Amino acid sequence: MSRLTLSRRTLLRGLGTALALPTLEAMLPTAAFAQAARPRRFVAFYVPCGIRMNRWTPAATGTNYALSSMLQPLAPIQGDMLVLTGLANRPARPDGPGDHASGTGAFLTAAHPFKTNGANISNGISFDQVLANAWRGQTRFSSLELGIDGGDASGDCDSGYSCAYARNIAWASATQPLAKETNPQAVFDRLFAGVDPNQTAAAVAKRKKYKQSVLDAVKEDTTSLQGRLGATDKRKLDEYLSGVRELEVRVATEQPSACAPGQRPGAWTDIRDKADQMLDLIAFAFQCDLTRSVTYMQQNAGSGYVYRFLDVNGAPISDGHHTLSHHGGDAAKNDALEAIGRWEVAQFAKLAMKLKAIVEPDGSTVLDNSALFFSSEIEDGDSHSHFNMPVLVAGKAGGTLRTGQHLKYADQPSVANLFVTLAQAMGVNQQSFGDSTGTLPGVRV
Amino acid sequence: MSRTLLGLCLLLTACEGVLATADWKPGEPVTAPPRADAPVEEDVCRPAAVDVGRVTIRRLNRFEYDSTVRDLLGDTTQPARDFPADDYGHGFDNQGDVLSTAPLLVEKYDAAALKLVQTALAAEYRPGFTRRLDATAMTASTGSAAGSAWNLYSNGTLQGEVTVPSAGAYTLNVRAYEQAAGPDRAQMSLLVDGVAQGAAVNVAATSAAPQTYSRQVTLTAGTHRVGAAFLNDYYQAPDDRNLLVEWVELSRSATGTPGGTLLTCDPVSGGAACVRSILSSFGRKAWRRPLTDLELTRLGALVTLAQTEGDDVQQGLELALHAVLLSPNFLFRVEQDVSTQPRALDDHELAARLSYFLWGSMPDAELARAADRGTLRAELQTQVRRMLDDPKTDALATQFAGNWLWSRAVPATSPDPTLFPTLTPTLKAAMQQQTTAYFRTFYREERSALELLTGSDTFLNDDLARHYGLPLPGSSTLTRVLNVPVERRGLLGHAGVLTVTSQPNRTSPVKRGKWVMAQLLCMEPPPPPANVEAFVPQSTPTGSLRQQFEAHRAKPECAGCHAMMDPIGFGLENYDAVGRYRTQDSGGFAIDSTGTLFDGRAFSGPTELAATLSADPKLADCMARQLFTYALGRAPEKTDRCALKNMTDAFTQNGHRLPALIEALVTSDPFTQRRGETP
Repeated sequence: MSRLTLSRRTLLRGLGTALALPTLEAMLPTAAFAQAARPRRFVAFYVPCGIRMNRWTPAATGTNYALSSMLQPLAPIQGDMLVLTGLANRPARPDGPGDHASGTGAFLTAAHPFKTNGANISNGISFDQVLANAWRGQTRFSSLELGIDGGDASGDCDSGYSCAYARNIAWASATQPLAKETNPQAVFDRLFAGVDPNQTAAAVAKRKKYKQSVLDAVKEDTTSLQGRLGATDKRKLDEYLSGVRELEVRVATEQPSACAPGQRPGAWTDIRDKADQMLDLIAFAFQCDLTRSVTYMQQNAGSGYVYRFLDVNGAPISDGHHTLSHHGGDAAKNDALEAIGRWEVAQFAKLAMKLKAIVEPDGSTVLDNSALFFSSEIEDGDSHSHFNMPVLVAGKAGGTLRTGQHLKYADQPSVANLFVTLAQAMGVNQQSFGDSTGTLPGVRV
Repeated sequence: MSRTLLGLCLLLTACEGVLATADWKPGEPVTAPPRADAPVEEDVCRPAAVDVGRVTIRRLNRFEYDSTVRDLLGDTTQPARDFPADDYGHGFDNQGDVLSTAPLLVEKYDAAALKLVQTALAAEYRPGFTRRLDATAMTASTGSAAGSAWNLYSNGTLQGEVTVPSAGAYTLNVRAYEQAAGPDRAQMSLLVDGVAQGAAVNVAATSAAPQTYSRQVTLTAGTHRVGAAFLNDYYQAPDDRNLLVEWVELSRSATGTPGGTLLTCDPVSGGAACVRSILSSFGRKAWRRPLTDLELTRLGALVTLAQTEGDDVQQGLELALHAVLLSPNFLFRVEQDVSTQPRALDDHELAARLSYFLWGSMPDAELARAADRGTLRAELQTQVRRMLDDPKTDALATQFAGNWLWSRAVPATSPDPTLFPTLTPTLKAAMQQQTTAYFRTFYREERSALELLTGSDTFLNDDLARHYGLPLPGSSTLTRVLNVPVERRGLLGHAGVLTVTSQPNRTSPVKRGKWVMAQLLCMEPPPPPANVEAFVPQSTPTGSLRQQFEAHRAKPECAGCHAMMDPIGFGLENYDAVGRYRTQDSGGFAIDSTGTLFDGRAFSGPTELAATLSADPKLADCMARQLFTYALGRAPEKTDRCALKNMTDAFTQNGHRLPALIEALVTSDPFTQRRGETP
């Protein structure tokens, strides 16, 4: 497609301004905690279209700050979380327009997504995958990628950025986005089905042997095929091969589990049900120690979802989220945005509360040992800024985070500094990441 | 094309004081406008600049996976519905560079492959079955035990229950002998569910040498009563004729049932040679090329493994066929990069390009035969003609046009239920199908594609006709309706098109204008600059939506692009946000749908707008580009200009018939050749 471009002057203007859970002990497979008494866990919680910042940022900083109106749903865990104001994601700034796709691509990578509609997709590894790589082999799933909307409708994503940037926050490498699962029933089946506790050891062993032999055969196919391909195609098959290797881990670690976390999710009518189910599944997965690194997209970049179930000034919201986010200072639009943001925060609070309700053998909670990161792809829908991002961290990461504070950074440090800090807090030796310049002061105990 | 593009440039010049051409990149100096007689760079085909291009290896997308397993195994369960959504590039979800393969997807491939193979084998591979009932353990209406046999000493039955695992042909065997008396032999019926199977048999065997009497029976899966009946008791003391039964047995031998999609022979009786033949035949179809000896040996080893572990050949085939469907040779459309020089695709690669382009699925037997013979290239046009007659070309309407015209997005639209309570999922489905069915007529009936915007026929069902306020055709499925009113002629009168380009609660002249420009004319306007003030409709309007927009767009940094997009969108303001015709907008103001296109052509109302767009040569150029992108899985580059020009010329010279465009495309160098990449 030939793309008409406006003048350089115009372009430059755009640049740079741019469930009741059972207790954990009862459910645990006995082996799970043998090696690590209190494993660290990470969740990235993505919400689209920015935040109404003047109802988000608490007025005071320090420990005894009052929650802003949008952060009210977090009151029960105020002591277990951090509000971080003044962080930037500079690499997220797009080349020309495309802040939603670019901000989403860079959400967890703090790398600059290469603007392309097709060829040469390039971003960076995402923070959840750094953790997944460090913890690989300790759980059945090195990471889970979850979301609400698969985004199958049409190919118009964002201003010349491929949909790959707009729909994925987890990136295994600069070139490989990790697609997410958006069907809660399929997530449940993936996590819990297929392990028959009544199989004999011999039958299990034979099944593993068969499965491994099939995987060996397709790996040999791939290797011999790669010998006859160019660099790009080889790389495409490397993506496939890493999936096969993940399957091998799955086969090797398969064992009948005593962890049976309740019902398969039922049908959903709107995203409220779906979000509930997904958050339950994240808690289940942690409870049964099936994974330690999760990404969750509440919607995709620049989502046009219509939050009709939210009433604002006595009437249901009738505009799409993205349309509202270009509020132009309109009071009614801002009120709707506040309602949406508050609902999103309530979902995040719900997840934190679920994890707080799961008690580990030493009496601490899963939330105590986790770090849950909340943010959006832009600051505000009108400004499309990648500075002063709305950022929350819930959980104490094993008692290493000084929670209960609102910290404000004047010099707009990179969100990547937070990621480095969190990595180290969770025992992963990471000195740099993305555009980091160090760690984030004030966060660690 | 050059004249209209130039008009556009001048218009931009008026707005910005500078010129931007389509090939301009940030950082390049902005040049003076070309003279009116100079061709625009975009349009020039220079043979020296030709490159056949390189297509990145394409993973099957969800539609292609489902279609392929349908054609390969007859499986219509659409396993890819559970796969993660495929990402889009250049507006299509079949672009090699963008289709990535996440571990989640590999896991889904693995589960789908196992299920597909198990289902297919179960349908074609029949395991052995034997169930014998000892007579003394059965239920008799008369008689008594006599050693291990049961003595039916007067007319009566001996029956027992057997559960068979699957439907089909079984053998019913009864081991019996008679105690002879009188003139006749003992007569016995073999029973299934109380019904005699065929004529009664005369039992001549004696206690010294009992015999097995058999009948072929056809059973449904489940439990059946089987047994025997004694029919001609005879007693003239001391002569006593009796029937003695030792056992009743239901059995069938373990066999494959060749002739289906998998088994070319019975792997039980056929041994290793048969196994290899099955793998070779299925592998050829699944991998879209003959398998090498090494590959066959690798798969055969999986069958041997199962047998070594004490399992039967069916288990072995399950492993091998699972590996076939999980292999990259199945999941990816492989084209080898043997050198960095352009080369002709081999016939197998070409067959796959053809079939996935026209059908979204694997080559059929005829195409595979031509590829095996090495004659495909010579008979390319004949094959394309044949393929276009196949119903599988529906993929062109659902996938190509579904992506191109956004009709695939219609079900996911979310019009405000308060404002538009009639917009049910059923109606949305009909809206989507209208565009699909309409597009289909263009290649099926070889209509001029320029009629896409003006054709006087359309497809309606009762829901849709009611939505449009037209007479009901009396059908819940879509039927063709001729001579519809002018406001329903062509794509721009399709509610689906008009709804996907609207906001949930109002029309969006900008989205509609952008859709026409980008999708139909391949002139995508750039997105708005950052930090522009968003348009907020007045809550108590003091003028029509159009007047509000026009006031808003007066700013110079906005006016350039909006002057191109908005007139088109305003021309469609006679359609509300769900495509119903109206003469007043939602604020009660009269609709003004007159306008002037960016190239200076004036129109009054949607019908004239459609006619004006239809006469624009960019429409044909754009269709060629869109089809190229879909067919090749990559966007056209500058080096494809000659190929595009040839395509457009053929298209234009043949009355804008899509089959002519398709033929020109599939015989072009970019389609039939490939340039490699350094390893």
